[in-house]
Amino acid sequence: MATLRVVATYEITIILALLLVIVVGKLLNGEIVTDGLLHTKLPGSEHQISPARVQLLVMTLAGAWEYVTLVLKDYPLHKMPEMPNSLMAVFAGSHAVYLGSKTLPILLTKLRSVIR
Amino acid sequence: MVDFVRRLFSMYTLMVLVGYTLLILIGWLAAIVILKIQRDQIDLTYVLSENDGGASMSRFQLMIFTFVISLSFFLVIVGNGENPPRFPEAIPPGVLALLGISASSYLVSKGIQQNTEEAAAAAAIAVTPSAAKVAAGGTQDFVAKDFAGMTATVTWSIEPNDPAVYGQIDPKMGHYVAPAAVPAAKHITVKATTSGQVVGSATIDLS
Repeated sequence: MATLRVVATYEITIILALLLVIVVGKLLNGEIVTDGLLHTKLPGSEHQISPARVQLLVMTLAGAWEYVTLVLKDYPLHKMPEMPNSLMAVFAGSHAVYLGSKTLPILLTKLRSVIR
Repeated sequence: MVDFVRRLFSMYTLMVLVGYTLLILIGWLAAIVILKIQRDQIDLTYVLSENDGGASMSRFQLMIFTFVISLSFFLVIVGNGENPPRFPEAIPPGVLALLGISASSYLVSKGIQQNTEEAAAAAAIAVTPSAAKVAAGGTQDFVAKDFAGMTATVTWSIEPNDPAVYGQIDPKMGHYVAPAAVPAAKHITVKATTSGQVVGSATIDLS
């Protein structure tokens, strides 16, 4: 059984590592399209950088990094670390800002048409 | 002989046998998927893209967190090799909340995107006539109608915008008056605009 565990561990490690390498490789060499990732999608301003998207990218990478460091501390104990409340709040706020930036123009357009 | 058969089919042997069979099956499936991705038979080119082709931030963050949480989960199960692998006793609510926010954000974003596209389609204006031939000194009236066939309030303009050479259009009524003499470039574009955005157009050929 011990041998089975070792083989299983190596197999899953290799599968996940290969998948990660392929996806990251395709992201870096442009085979996975990332054009316009940080650009606003509003009609007429498609090529402008969107601050809401930039902050979501920064928060996503920072949050992921923070969680990985917590995992690297706790993994020998077979324990998933809890996400700090402060990080959760920042993360939720970041998503709210992003979604708000997408919703606001629609609401304003509808409001204008109602007023008109 | 009976002892040998009993040993061969003991629960322990069966568990190991099932374990190796599952490993081979998983390895085989994973190899097929990875090879297909590598050969672009499973095409990931637009995995982060919206329908319009632009990359989506909500898809990107969902992908990042899927990788981070799944790799973390695997690392936690395996441990550092001192103890046998085992599942964590509990998945912290914060981690589930994080995945929930990440996935919900993606779903809400898709909903907003759909709403925007429908709003853009609904905002589209049909200009009639879409093409007109106007003689020197002649006139032509343009009308903008929305998707329901109702007359829409738009601001009219022409391109090129030089009244002395190409004539002029009433910005409110859509009444075009051609110049007295036909210019060298006889093709004019009529634009219908709302909130600074062009929502419809038509063409004029001067003759």
